[in-house]
Amino acid sequence: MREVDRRGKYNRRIFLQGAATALPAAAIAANTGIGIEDAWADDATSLRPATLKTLVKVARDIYPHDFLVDSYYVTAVKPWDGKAAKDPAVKALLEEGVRRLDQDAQDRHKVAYAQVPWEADRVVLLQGIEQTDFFKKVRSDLVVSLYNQEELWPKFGYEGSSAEHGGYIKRGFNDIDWLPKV
Amino acid sequence: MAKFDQNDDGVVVIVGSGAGGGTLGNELAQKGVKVVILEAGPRTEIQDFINNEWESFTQLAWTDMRTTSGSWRVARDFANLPAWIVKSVGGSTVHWAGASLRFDEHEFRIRSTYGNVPGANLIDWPITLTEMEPWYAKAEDKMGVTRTNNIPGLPGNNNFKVMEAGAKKLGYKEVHTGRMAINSEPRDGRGSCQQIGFCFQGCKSGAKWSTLYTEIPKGEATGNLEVRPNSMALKIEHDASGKVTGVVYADEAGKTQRQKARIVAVAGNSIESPRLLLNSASSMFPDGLANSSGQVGRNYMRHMTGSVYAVFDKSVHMYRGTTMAGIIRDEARHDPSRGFMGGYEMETLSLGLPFMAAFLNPGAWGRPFTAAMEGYPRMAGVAGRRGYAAGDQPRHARPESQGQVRLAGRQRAL
Repeated sequence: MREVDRRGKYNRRIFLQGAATALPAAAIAANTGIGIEDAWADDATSLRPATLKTLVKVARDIYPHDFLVDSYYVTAVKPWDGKAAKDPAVKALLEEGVRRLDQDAQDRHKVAYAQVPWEADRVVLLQGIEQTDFFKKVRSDLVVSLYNQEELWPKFGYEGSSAEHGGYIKRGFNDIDWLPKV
Repeated sequence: MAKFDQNDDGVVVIVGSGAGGGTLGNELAQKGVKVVILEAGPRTEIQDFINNEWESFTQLAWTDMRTTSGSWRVARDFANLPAWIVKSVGGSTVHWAGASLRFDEHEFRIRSTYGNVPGANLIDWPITLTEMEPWYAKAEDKMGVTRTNNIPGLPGNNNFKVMEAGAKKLGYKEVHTGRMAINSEPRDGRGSCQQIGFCFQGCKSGAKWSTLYTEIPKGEATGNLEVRPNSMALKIEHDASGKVTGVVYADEAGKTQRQKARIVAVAGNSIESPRLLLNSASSMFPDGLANSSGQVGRNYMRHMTGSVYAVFDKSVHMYRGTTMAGIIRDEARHDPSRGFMGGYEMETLSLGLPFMAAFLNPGAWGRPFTAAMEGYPRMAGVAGRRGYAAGDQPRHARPESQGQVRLAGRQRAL
């Protein structure tokens, strides 16, 4: 059966400006999950850099995939800055949402959300705000902005667009080989 | 290409270019009748289709604001998107799966067969399966339905093979790749299925039947059919005797136009057709057109579908190939001893990764959800479907438990 190369075509490409100089190429190629440098957040035009960085942490806690490096979550979250620049209500929603989350984290753990060390503890904090507009909006946006990244698909064994490759008729549409004989 | 004058009252106007409208338009054109089809959506052709679930959705889906309510899960998860239908030339034949099943005999007389089901609004059809059989046969020949007209069934893909293995193990007998309006070999000037796997995003090989590239071009070639895209029908007008005189519609620029007509056929799918009929109310027909029964806009019929994805130990890659060419029919019979009226089919179903994330368990998050998502390449999918569910919709139950679709937002003033 034809398997999908999980490394995809883009494992050596750096998506974010500034990150290439900050990290050794070997670490990225090995997909060890080292966090990308935060230079990208300092380029924000509307949201506070700390807010964007926290949103990346929140994004990973909402949809945790250990084999995905931070860059995918950064790519998913970055557009919020543009949306906040266009709409003050969006900006207020995000800044206030993060502020409240940080406050909850301070009350319970004496540190900001992104510094709470255990994922399980951060998830409890998210459950606390699960019914808020902030959480609902962030999550429903993320389910598209994260999983709709083409570079991410091979990591889940999904091959994306097919017609330009002649469909799957010659690429294993029926090549399953482990079923018991019917 | 035909182009009829708006004041030509000798044309038949058809609202909608899908399965009903596109087919009727061609049939009339072949007989020399002049036809104008008004299609609300644009003319998106095969070369425009996109093998990307979200992009395709944006391109083809009817996304005008709607609201829904009631206790069904869709009202909670997708309150503004209660139905996924197409707003483009070809209508929902652009994104349908191609599954072409005939009603069973008892499904023409569910009131007599099921009896009085509390809270349901049931009625017998005024026709029988026997009377419909010649028309089913014509449609199957027209569309090229596999397992009819000497057309071989499609080959089973990985997803089907998993379902087939399970079905046979359980002792099911009627298991095959379905009666699909998808060419398994070249036919009618269209190629055969390439197992592209984006059936719901418009068939880029043209193997799947759609009025967009079958009925409509054939009709246009006669010189008797004009399709006007980006034309949203607003109201059907009639004269003092109650006979239709034409259709008022909004053109691409939003300007109101009027096309005169000798006959008007309404083929705008389950939501827009009743809307148009109700919006065409007049002093002579205060409840809207064709509504002396008071039933227009009620008894909304849809497929009731429950889908299940199982994660196996080894890869399946279920997205490779046709989305729904696989069926188990053993449970389709009416058998009240099972505790419900009517029967159901089990059909293969697949989603790409982006739609899986959005629809596997809408709203779910955290490790329980992502663990399931990581099983994606090892997933196989099945949907249990009722042919139609009109009779099961509660009619006079508490408002909050009724399933309703409501059209909201700014209405065009006339």
